[in-house]
Amino acid sequence: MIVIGLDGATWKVIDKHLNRLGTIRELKSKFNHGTILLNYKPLSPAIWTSIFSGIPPSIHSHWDFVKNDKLVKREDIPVEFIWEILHKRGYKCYAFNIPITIPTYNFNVEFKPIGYGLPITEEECYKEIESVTKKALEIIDKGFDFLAFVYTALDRYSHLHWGEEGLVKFYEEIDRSLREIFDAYNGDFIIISDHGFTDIDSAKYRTLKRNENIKGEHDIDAIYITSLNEKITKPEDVFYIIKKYF
Amino acid sequence: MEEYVEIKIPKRIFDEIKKRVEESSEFKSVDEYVTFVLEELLKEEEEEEYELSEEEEEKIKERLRGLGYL
Repeated sequence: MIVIGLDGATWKVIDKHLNRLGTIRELKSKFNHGTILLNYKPLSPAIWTSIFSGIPPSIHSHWDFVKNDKLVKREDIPVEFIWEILHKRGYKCYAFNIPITIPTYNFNVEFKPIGYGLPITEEECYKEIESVTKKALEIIDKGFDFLAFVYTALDRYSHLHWGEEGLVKFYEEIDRSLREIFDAYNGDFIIISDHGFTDIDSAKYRTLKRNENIKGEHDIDAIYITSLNEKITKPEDVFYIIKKYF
Repeated sequence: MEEYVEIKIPKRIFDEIKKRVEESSEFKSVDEYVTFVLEELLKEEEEEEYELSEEEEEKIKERLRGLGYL
């Protein structure tokens, strides 16, 4: 099984430009999909931790990449992740570029995140799509039981380019990469985002410090598409769906 | 499922581990114990490799500020 994370992906952009996103259009028409509405501050480290540990943010309390002026490390997060559990049970598990920490977290994979997992420039953001896709294809080729990875650059790009044509082009690039992955892999999958996005003045929660470059803000509408006959209503459901699958 | 291979360890170590496994409720076999210990060791080594310098931490914080996280 593969879990593909699209950090910050929202139907608001996808549905409006579905004619330009052929892979997502096809996946959406063939498979189970929906929206996950968050009832708390949509912060990436908290939600990815819940997705892969089954523990809600109110319990694990890992909300931010930085705590007391120090970068939070894997060992500071008091949870066991699904790849650790499955690995102990003898499954071949790989996870990389997971934004539970910065630098982004890898399990059983040698992967150097672009810009420590915080790509900012146009070049870095596109480079991340390329390098994440390349690594995913390598693992698919090698064989695995469970693989998870996240395109974090979609979130970073949405921070800086919300409402611009460039963001739609960036979604197109992700869509092309998904095509490459699904050309190489035809097993079960979950595609998921941790939160959605909206313009900076319309968001229900304020998660970002304002500066002159910030155009988008995290929103409560996360998305999913899955080949499994499961409904995802909250991030931690993903963990239990994967656990049940194995 | 993961493939397994056989390795050789001195009998005195095997006997010591066997004793520990019998006394513990956490491990079901010597194999499970050895796998756990080796995995922990490998994890520690990986973590050491990713130790960031102060300069790198500052670069990361600069990026977090640029994206509005700090």
